[in-house]
Amino acid sequence: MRPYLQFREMLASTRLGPTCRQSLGLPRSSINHGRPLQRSMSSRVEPDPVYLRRLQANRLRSQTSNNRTLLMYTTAVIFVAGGVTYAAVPLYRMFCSATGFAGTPITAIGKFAPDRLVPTEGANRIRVRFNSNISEALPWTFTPQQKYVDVLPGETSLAFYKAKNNSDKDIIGIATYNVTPDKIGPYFAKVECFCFEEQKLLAGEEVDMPLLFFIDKDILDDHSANGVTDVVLSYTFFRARRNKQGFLEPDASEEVVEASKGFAGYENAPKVEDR
Amino acid sequence: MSFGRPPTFSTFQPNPPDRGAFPLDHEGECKDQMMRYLSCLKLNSNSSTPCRVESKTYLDCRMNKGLMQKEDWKNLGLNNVGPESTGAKGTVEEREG
Repeated sequence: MRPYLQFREMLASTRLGPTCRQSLGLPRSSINHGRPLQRSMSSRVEPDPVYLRRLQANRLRSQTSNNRTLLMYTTAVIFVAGGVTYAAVPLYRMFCSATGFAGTPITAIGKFAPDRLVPTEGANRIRVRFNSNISEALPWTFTPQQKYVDVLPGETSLAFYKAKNNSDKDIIGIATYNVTPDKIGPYFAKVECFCFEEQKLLAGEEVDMPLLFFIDKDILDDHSANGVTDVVLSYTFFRARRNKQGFLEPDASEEVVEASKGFAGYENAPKVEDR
Repeated sequence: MSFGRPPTFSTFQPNPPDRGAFPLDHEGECKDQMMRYLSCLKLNSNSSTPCRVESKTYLDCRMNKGLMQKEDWKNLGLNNVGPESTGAKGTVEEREG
C-alpha cells in the first residue's frame, strides 16, 4: 500500500488530469492537499470539484495564451514574407550594384573614388564634342568655347561654355544635358558642372561656365562600348526656376505662362501659393 | 539586369554631378587661367592630357577666390599633376607661403 500512495502523491505533484490517470489504469480520485487521505476501500472516489475547476481554468488559460502566441507568430511570418517578396527586386538590385554581381557596374560606392580618377595610359582617346542648345523663350546666347576635347578614360578634364544674357532683365535658366551615344551614358560622369541648378544671369552679362568631367575607365571593359570613339555632350538651357518644392517651373510671370497655353483672355484663379 | 524587359532596354538615369554646380564667375576672376587652358588645348590639338597643369591652375584659382569648395586634389583626379602637386589639401599659394 505504501509505494502506491507515494505514486499517487507524485501524480498529484505533476498535476496530471483525471483522464491521464485513467489511462494509466489508476482509480479516479481526488488528490488531497494537506488533508489526510481517505483510505476507503472503494475504488471510485469522487473528484474534488474545486480542484477540477481550477485545473480546467488553468488549462483554458494556457491554451488561450498558446493560441494567441501562435497567431502572432503566423501573422508575423506572413507579413515578413509579404514584405520580403515586395522588396525582392529592389533588394536584388541593391545587392547587385553593391557586389557587381551579374555584371551590374558597381554604383553604390566609389564611382568618384580617387583611385578611379586616374588617366589610363595607353588607352585610345575618346573625342568628346560639345554642343549647345537654347530654348527659344530664353534670350541668351550659349556656346561651347572649344569644339572638342580628346580625353583618356579616367582622366578628369575641363571644358568651358559661354553664356550671355542678351535681354535687359535678369533671367534664371537651368541646363539639362544628354550624351550620345547612349551606351556611354553610364560611364560619362561629371564631377562638377553648371547643370541641374539655377543659373541667374544679370542683364547683359556674359559668364564662362566650366565643366569638370571624366569618362569612367570601366568603359574599357564594356565590349558593347568598344567602338565608341566619339561622344557628343549636349547642353540645353531652359528658362526655368525651381519652386519651393524643388520642381521646375517656367521663369516667367503668370500671364505669360497662361498666354502660352492659350488662356490669355481668361480670368484665372490665383495660384495656391499666392492666395 | 533587365528583369523581364528586353535586354537592350536601357535603365540608365542621369545623375547630378558629384560635387554640385560651380558658382558663376560673375567678375571673370579666373578668366586668365581659363584662357590659358583654352590656348593650351589649341596648341596641343585639343588633347586634354598636356593641359592638366592648366586645368589644375584654373581650379586652384576658383578655390582661392571662393568660387568652388576646397577639395583634395586626389578627389578631383589631379593628384600627380604639375610641380606643386604634393597631394596636400590646400592651394598653391598656401603651400608656398
